[in-house]
Amino acid sequence: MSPILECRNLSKKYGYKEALSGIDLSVERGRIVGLLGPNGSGKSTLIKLSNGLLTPTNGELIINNMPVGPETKKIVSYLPERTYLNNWMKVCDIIDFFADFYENFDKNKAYEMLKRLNINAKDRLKTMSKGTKEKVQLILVMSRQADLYLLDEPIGGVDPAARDYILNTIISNYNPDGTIIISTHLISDIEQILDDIIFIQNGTIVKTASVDDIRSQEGKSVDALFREVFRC
Amino acid sequence: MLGKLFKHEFKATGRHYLLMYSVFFVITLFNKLFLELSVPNNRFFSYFQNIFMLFFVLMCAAIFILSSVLVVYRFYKNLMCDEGYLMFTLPVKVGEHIIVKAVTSFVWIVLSTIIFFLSILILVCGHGLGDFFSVCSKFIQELSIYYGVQLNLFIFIYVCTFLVGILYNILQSYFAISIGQLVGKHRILASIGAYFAINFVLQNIFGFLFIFTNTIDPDLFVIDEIKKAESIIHYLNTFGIISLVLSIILTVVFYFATKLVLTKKLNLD
Repeated sequence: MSPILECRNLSKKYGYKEALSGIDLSVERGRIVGLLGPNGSGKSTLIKLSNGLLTPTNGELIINNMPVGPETKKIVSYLPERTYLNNWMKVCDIIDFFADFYENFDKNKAYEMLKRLNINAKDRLKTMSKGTKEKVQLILVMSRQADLYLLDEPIGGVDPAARDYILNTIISNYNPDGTIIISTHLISDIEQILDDIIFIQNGTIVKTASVDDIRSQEGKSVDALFREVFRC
Repeated sequence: MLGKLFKHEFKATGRHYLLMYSVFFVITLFNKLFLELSVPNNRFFSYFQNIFMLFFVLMCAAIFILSSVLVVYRFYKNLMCDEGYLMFTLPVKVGEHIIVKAVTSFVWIVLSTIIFFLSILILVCGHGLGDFFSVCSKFIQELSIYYGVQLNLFIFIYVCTFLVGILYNILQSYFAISIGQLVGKHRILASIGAYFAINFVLQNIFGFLFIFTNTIDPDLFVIDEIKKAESIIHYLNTFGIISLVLSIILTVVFYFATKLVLTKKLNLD
C-alpha cells in the first residue's frame, strides 16, 4: 500500500528563516508516529503544511496519493496547538458543526466521551477553562474515523493526570487502519504508545526508526535516545 | 457544502446584526412615542424627546458603520485568526468560503439599509407622509413625461450600481485582508494599507481613463433647456453604465485575486 503521507524535497521559508529545508519523508498506514524535536525544530510547520494552513516554498506534500486540498481534508483530522473554537457556541453546536462538514464524524462517540469527562454539552465554550476546551477539541478530533490524525502537542496544556486519559482516548478511539502523527517534546509521556519515531531538528529530519528497533538495536528508550541526539 | 456553509455563516453573523436591528427598532419606537405624545411646555419631557432623537440619529450612522465593521471583522477573525485553523481544515474550497462570506455580508448590508429606511418611515408616518408620497409620484410622473425610457433606465442603472457597489466594497476589503496576511506581523495595519493602496491605484487609472476618453457630451453646454435636460440624463446614464460594468469586472477580479492569494499563499501564523 502507498504511504499515507509523503514529503518530497519539502521546504518552507518564513522570510529569510528556513523552517523546513528540503525534507524527504514517508509515513506508512496504521502506525502511531511520534514527531519529536526540540522547540522550533519545524514540527508545527510540517503539520500545518499537511493541513494546507501554510503553503510550501518548495517541494511536494502528498496525502493518500493526493496533493493537499479539500479531498485530503476529508480524511485528515487535525488537532492544532491552539484553541480554534469560538467562544459563543455551545458544545452541542460545535458538534453539529463537525457533523455537518465531516462525513466521518461520529456524533454518538463524541457525546459518549463528553459524558465520561463530565463535560456538559449545553455549556458554552466561553465558560470553560483552557484545559477543558482542549479536551473538547480532542474529543471532536478523535470522534472522526480519519485516515490520518495530526495531533500537534495534544498533551502540552493539561496536567499529568489528564495526560493519561488523553493518551487513552487517543489509542482507544482512533481508526485502527489510520495513522496518528503526534508532535511533542514530552516524550516519556507518550513513549509507550508509539510505533515509530521521527526526530526533527532545525528543519531537517535527523532520524526515523521504529521504536522496537531502537529498543533492540540501541538498547535504549526513545527518551534516552532523544536526550542523546538533541544534547545541548 | 455551500448550503451548510451558508447556514453556519448566517447563524454566526446573525446574532450581531439581529441585536443591532432590535436596538435600532426599540429606539425608533421610543422616538415615535415621544413624537406622538407631545406634552407642551414640559422641559422634562422635551429633554427626553431630544435625548431619544439624538440616539436615533447616532443609531442611523451606527447601523452603517457597524455593519461595515462587522463584514471586515468576521472575515478577519473567522479566517485569518485562530478560527481559521478550523475553517481552512474543513473539506471546502477556498472560493466557497469567500462566496459564502461575501453573499452573507451583502444580505446583511442590504437588510441594514432596508431597516434604516423603514425606521425613518415609521418616524414620519402620519406626519404628511401621504402628501410626501403623492408629491414624489407626481414628480416621477412628470419626469417620465420628459424623459420616458431614459428615466426608467436611469433608476435601474443606479439601483444596480448601489447593489453592485456593496459587493464591490466587500470584496475589495477581503482582497486587502488577504494581502495583509502575506505580511508576517502587523497584519491589520498591512490590510488597511493594502485597502488604501488599491483605492489609490484604481482612482488614478480611472481618472486618466475618463480624461482621455472625453465622455462629456457637448450638448451639456447648450442653452436649450429641454435639449440640455435630455443630454444630462443621457450623460448620467452613459456614465452610470460604464461605471456599473467596471464595478462588476473589478468585483470579479477581486474575488479571483483573493481566491488566488488564499489558495497559493495562505500563511496562518
